[in-house]
Amino acid sequence: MPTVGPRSGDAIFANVERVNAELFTLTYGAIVRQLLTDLEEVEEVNKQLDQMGYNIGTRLIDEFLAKANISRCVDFKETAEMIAKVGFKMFLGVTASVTNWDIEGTCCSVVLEENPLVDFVELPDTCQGLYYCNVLCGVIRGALEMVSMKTEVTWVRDVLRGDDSYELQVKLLKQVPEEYPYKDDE
Amino acid sequence: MVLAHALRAKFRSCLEHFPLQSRAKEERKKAKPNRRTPSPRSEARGEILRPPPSPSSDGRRVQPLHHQQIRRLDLLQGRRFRCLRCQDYGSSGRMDTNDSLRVASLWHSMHAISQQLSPTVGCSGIELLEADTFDLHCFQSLTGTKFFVVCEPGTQHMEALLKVIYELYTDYVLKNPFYEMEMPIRCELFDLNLSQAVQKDRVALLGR
Repeated sequence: MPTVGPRSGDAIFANVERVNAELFTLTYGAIVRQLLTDLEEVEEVNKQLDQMGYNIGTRLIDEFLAKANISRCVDFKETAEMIAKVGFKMFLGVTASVTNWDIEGTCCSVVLEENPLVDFVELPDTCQGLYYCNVLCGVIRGALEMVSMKTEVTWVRDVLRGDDSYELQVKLLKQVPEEYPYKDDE
Repeated sequence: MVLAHALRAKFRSCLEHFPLQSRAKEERKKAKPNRRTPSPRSEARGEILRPPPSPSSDGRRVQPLHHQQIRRLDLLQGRRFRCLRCQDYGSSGRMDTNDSLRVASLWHSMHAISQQLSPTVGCSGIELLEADTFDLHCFQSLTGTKFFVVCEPGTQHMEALLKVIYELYTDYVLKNPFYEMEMPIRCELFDLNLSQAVQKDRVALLGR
């Protein structure tokens, strides 16, 4: 087998099985509505969406690594580029870009040009504190945690809340290399 | 290191019980040097790790994979030293569950220690162990899960097989919502597809 480098998001997206976008939007909408009915508090729903995303992310990362043939990233900048260019393209079919790097290179913004989760959605006045797509924050956080990076992912701008685009802030808190349950006896 | 000595002794005594392993002493087993360009651990920055070139890239002379060549497959190991799955395919030297678990945890420890002992900087652990009577190929994903296969010496395309199995794992195990992470794998679809991957010439068909 010849040496293969990482595959582009477009190439992978073209090869995976796809599902109807409306079905996807409707399913996600149903989840959010049900959570609102069950939990009633908007903050609780935000937390629950994040937790759901986290569970998805911990499983999705292996799929991502297997299909995209990714090798270990050099630094967090490359990680963020991978998430935006390959990850989002591969799983959601959207292009994203990375901007607003801080000086240390540990915090950046991922801007989504489009967001299939929110097609046809409008937030009512009763749900003003809701981060409708909070599941995406959880997915990124969960996925990065499985590759030894503790991160904090929050929404900076959200079209459903009146802004002009979807912007996620991804902040690397620390690298946590794998712990082995023994100590050196020296 | 005291721990290394203790593990070596334990490994030697364990291996004496296993019919797979002849009386080959540990000194005769040599871990093949890491064929990848070394890269630092995740704490630091460093070179990008490229996948190693495959031993025979001549597509025309691919030999079909005989299932007898694979002795034992895939003690998957999670991030916390746990053996998640083990499958015997060979006709000789079947192990019971306890022995498999013991070997799995031994391997996990050896793999971890080899990373520390390695003379190359930023080694990611043993990839290939060649012994007189078997070869052991190991693949570690970036998430820390290890897949390894014990096979006849000189069996080709094991690394490609391990990649196929990694993809099967991501499909049939991780996408099963009722599978709990880090728990032993009891997914029928996974078992089925795993057997197919091993028994058929799937490896020969990989053209990617």
